[in-house]
Amino acid sequence: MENDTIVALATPEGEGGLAVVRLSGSEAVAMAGRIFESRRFGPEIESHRAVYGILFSSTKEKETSYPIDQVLALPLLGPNSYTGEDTVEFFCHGGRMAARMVVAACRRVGARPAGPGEFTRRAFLNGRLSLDQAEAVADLIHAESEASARGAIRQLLGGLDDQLSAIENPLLELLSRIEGSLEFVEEEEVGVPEDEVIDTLKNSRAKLDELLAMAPAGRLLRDGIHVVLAGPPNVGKSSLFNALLEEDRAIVDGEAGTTRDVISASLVHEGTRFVFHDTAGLRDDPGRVEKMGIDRTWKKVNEADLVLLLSDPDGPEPNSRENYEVPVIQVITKADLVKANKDNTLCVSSTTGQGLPELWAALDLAVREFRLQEAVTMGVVLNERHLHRLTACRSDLEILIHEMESSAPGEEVTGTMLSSVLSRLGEVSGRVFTEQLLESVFQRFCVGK
Amino acid sequence: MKSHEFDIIVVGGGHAGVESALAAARMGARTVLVTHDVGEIGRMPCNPAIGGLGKGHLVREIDVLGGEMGVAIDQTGIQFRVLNTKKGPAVRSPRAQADKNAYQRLMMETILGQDSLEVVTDDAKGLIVESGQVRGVSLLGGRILTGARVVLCTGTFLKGLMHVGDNRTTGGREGAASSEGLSGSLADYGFELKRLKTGTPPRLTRQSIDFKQLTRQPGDENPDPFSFRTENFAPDQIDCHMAYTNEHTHRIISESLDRSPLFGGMIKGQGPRYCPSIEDKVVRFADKDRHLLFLEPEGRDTDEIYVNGLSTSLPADVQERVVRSVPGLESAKIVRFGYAIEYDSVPSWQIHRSLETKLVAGLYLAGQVLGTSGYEEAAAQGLVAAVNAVWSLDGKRPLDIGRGEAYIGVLVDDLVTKEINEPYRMFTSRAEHRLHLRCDNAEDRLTDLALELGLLSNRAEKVLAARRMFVRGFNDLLQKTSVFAKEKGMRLMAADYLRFPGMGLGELQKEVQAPDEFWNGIEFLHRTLKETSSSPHLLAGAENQVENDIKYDGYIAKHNRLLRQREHLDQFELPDTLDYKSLTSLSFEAREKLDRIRPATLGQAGRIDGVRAGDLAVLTIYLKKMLPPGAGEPAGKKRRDRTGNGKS
Ligand SMILES: Nc1nc2c(ncn2[C@@H]2O[C@H](COP(=O)(O)OP(=O)(O)O)[C@@H](O)[C@H]2O)c(=O)[nH]1
Ligand SMILES: [Mg+2]
Repeated sequence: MENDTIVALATPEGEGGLAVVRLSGSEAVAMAGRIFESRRFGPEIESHRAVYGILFSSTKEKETSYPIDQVLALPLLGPNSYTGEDTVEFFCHGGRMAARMVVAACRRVGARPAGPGEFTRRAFLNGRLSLDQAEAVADLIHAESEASARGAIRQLLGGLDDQLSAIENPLLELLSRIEGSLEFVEEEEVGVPEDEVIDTLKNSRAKLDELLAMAPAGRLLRDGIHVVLAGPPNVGKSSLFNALLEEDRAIVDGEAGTTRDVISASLVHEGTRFVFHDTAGLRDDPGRVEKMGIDRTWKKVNEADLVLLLSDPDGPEPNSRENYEVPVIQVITKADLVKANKDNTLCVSSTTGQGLPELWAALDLAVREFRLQEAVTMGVVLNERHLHRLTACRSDLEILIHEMESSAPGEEVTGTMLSSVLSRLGEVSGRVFTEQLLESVFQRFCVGK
Repeated sequence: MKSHEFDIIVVGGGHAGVESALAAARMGARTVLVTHDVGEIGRMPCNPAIGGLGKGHLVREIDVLGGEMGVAIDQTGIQFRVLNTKKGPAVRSPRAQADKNAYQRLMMETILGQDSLEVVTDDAKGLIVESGQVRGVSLLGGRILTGARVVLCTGTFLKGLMHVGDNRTTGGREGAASSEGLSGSLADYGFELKRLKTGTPPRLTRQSIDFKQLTRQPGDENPDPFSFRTENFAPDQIDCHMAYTNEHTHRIISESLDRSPLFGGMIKGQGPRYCPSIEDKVVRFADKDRHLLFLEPEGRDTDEIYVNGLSTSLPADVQERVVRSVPGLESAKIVRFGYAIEYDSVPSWQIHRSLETKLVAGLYLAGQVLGTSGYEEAAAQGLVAAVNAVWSLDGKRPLDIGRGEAYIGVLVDDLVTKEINEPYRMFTSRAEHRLHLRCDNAEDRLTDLALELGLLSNRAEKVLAARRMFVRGFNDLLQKTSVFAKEKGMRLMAADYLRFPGMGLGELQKEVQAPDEFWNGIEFLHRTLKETSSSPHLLAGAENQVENDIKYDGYIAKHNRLLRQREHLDQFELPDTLDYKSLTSLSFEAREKLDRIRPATLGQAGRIDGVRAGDLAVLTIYLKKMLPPGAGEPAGKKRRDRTGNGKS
């Protein structure tokens, strides 16, 4: 595969420490040779063997070139590299500043800065990634915002695996004790007390719930947070829409009922993607065409993640005849027209921009409820397939807990059912647990007929 | 027109070879058994016992299918116990101490008396293979046996190497030469071989043991036979005894570890973790101050006592001091020292589920040579290999025993999907259908298959049919009859009465009022079963099944729901020609493993370590997209439609 050579920081954004710059493509080794000085980095470099040397700001021979940092260079020759292409990785101890300079040096000798997810995309195209990882890559490629990209990267690094292990390991340990007591009869009594079994199961269920709670976050990270602007005609929805997007997207008009369809636009704010939807007004006696717009409004409202419910400063109290299933932020518009602001309510003026920062703060606060940040830190961006299987695990676990509490089955029953919960978890984590189980049993028990 | 002397050549007279030769001959194939010593047929080189957890299940299944092991142990056992009686019925398993010599004698007589089975006393030297098809076996004595199918059951004989301390001898076990040639022959044909290790403890003389210091372990008061065919079962039982090592023992061992071939690095093969040597145990469980030993007589008339739990390859002088440090064994005399043995095995990813090798058509492997351990595991494979070898002569599809049908199915499936890194032993935890795969319902589970194999006598077949009728009829009565439980003061279905903990058929009989038809029905069922078999154990076993079926049915139903999804995958056949390496969306690990193991179904693929649900999704999509319509669809159970559908 003919590929130009790309370069980027390979370590995720974070505090200090070791930074890795990755250079990948058919020219990677040659380019590295131009800026990297080491006795052992010559024409006959050995793959997967790191060498120490000095990295220069551009082609070593140039007069303007100066040493940047002492780095470790690790050549990884294709196909045995992450991307499947010839790759050189520079490990910079000098922190992020130095790493940025290394990237710049690579660019000076002809490397192109890599686009988001480009290494991974190459890895996938070269067949170097599993489906799970590839799914994460697909998310990455589609990810428009930073937060989402970070979550996707984490999943590649095994964030989901960590979470699953945290659920699996206590269950595996429990199962190995149960099975141990079934398989090694001559040992002293080694059964597991029932309360302990139930406690462990409930603990795992709670952890699974936590993981499942991340599921919406996964979608929100990928698709963005959908915010619908709702309220009576002429309350200022379109104006606020424009103000939020800082551009004139929607038609603003003084005559009620102008916006008949739904207009959407998205932007990234503080790393999170928002999709705003400007709707027709919600009033009770609309014309026919407008009525269709209103129907669409209600549909949008119900599909939204957040609703901004707008009302006039001196108009009636906001329409509360519908119960919204989604979180609602109440906003009073045209704040410039009234002197005294009502307490505890957001007052915004699209004309002057007054109150807009407060509105953004309210949006960010509401978004925090969706736990995107946690999902990103945990590295768990669940996709539909994960969600489907994990939900199945959850209900298996539920059945088992119910059995334990209602009919106190024998250990052979508990063990059997628990093992099927574990093998279903294994369908997501890829672990086949039987051997692990026996290993763990053997570590605990010996002797038996 | 047949150019060969035999249909089936079985090499090796151990537990796999015995079942294999008998099954093949009983199916009418012209069979020959090659063994280096007729007197060694059916020998128990290690523990003089049959059965045990998971293994007892296998013996019960082998018996129903018409194997010999269960019948033989019933006749020659000297102590019978059901293990795990404190746990639920699904994990209870029979075990018996054998009179080792009597067992061997009986097996030898059975083999020698079998029609259509010839015995040749010689060593197999090499395989004869022509264009990828096995043609026969060459013998050390110079003779060449030609045959259509060969079943290799060579146990630990391939390049066997025994260790006692730094003393090493080649041999398949104590006092028997090893087969060097065959191992080379297999390697020549491209088989990958893998070194494994196993060990055995020292044997003591009976008179030298002070039994007064030991704890007696008697057999069951009302022992149960293994075989449903055993009618007059009243064994004269002998006690085993329990002893304990102590800190002094452990010190002797720790101080001698540098003289252990295991820790000195002389032994390269991987041993079984579940049956560690005593030196292993002392190192791994350093915090335990004692280990349990069982002193098991090797027979009625022999003086030898087997020390279960003291497997070792330490030098002879250390073994002596170790034994004598145990209270009760202070003046024990060792007749045979423990040893470790290393041998070549053929990692089982190289066989199909028929146990035929992928490299050489017509060559089947069974038993320890495939990396398993245990007489029972070996016997089960011997039986499966023979049936498949004979069936393949007529182009019939191989046996397809599911993981949900029998432990034999679990065993075979594990062999073809698992990377086996240590001698493989059956455990009940390997069976996800454990609640259904019980000893008490082995007959019921396998009746159809037993009738299809036709290895049983007419009479035994009738017994199976009658037992099934009994179980179904009884279950029907219980499900349909409303009874009044006097003690509980309530009216309920008879079956539901049995669902209460601690309630069995005995309690039912005493505690409930039921219509006459109910009692008459039961009476009738009893009478009919007794007409076909006089065995009280058969009746008790059948009643036991009826109870357990009801007690477990709720759990089994729930559990089956959990399993169903995966079952479905077992119906998807994967074409043998699939080019996994080209499917780059599979994970790297999955691609490698699938290419090597070449699973027969999507279900098997999913049971390979490292193959994820994501990989299965890729395969499913691929099959649906790339293959012509119809291919890759669920194949359905093919058992009833086996003829003419296999390879020619
Ligand atoms: N003074 C003032 N006028 C506003 C503000 N927001 C909207 N308007 C006016 O209110 C009218 C209706 O606005 P529009 O955005 O079309 O309302 P919509 O029907 O809810 O979309 C227009 O004449 C706007 O210029 C504001 O913050 N301050
Ligand atoms: Mg508008």
